[in-house]
Amino acid sequence: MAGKRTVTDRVWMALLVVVLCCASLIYGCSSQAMSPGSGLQQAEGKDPIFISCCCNDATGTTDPGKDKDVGCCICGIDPANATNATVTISNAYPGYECRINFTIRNTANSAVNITSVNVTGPLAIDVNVDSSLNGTTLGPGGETDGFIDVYVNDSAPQSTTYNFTVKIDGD
Amino acid sequence: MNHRKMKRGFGKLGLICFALLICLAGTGVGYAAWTDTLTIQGEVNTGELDYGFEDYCCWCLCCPGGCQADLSQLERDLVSSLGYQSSNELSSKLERGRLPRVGCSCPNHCSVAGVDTDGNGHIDKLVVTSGGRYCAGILHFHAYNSGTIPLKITGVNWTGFRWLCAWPINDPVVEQLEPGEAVTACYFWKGILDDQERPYQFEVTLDIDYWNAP
Repeated sequence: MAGKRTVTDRVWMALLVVVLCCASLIYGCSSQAMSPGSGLQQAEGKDPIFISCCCNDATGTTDPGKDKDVGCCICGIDPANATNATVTISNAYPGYECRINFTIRNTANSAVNITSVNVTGPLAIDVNVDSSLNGTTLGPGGETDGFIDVYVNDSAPQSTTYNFTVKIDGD
Repeated sequence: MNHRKMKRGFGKLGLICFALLICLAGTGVGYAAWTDTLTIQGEVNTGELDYGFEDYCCWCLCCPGGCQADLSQLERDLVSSLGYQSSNELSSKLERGRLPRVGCSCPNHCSVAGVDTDGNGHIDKLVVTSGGRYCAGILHFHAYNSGTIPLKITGVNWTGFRWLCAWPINDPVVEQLEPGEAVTACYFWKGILDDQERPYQFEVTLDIDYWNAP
């Protein structure tokens, strides 16, 4: 009788563990499923994502601060992973400048806080990120706008490709 | 006895299960937290600043006597000797592709060769070979923007022969030259030393900069 009870207890305990594990994972998944983001991003389990990204110097428009259309800037969000965005600036020249505007949405059901914004890039170009982003708290479903200013310095030679990276971290 | 065994067995299993439970619960909570860094990858491609010469040619002219000091007088003499009333009239004829109807009395003719110094398929230097002593001439060329960025021509360099004077009929200096666009230039040139070697050469290049440069 006692042995039967021991086996039963162990079975119940194992069952309890399984149930709690499932509950734990469901909790994790629920933060995505309840979020207002798109289905693709939810399925990937991402919390803050980019929902818009655009430049102020689209193809065929006069360069910002200049009198003619020479360079152009394109910004896009990775359709497979909305935590990544790409910016491509073409036919730039010393003195060229443009601004990339973007919007971040918190797709989790808990608040997130942007703790750091880091920029890496070559000296030939200046990349400045909206300083107000750092420290911003996004509630569930909350959104915030930010921008990046890019300026090509006089030291940038012609026919050259430069890369820069902006990383936004939070917790 | 059995009750004690049951309690001991339950205790070990419970400890393991509890630890497992905590780990998995932590995994779930962590999964629910900020899961990824937002990243923006940027690429900046700078355009090309370059120019090219085309339709270049030169004519040898006999130098009216003297021409040592007063270059403007030389210009007037040359224009007159070609049968034109003014430099502007000569310039307009040249732009229409007409050659001055004048016999070259210099002992040798001049010639001009184009050089592609950077190997990008565009002639960026002209090498003019003069016929000989006292020979003057006219150099005519088109300069075009072979790059992708608007440029300005800030000057014309005459190098390779120290005692050379050149002055424009059509100056190619412009503030904005769009990609593919060309400008016409025409110069008088003259070696001014009595003991100049013959033949002699000089080179012509352009100073250019971005159109928006200060």
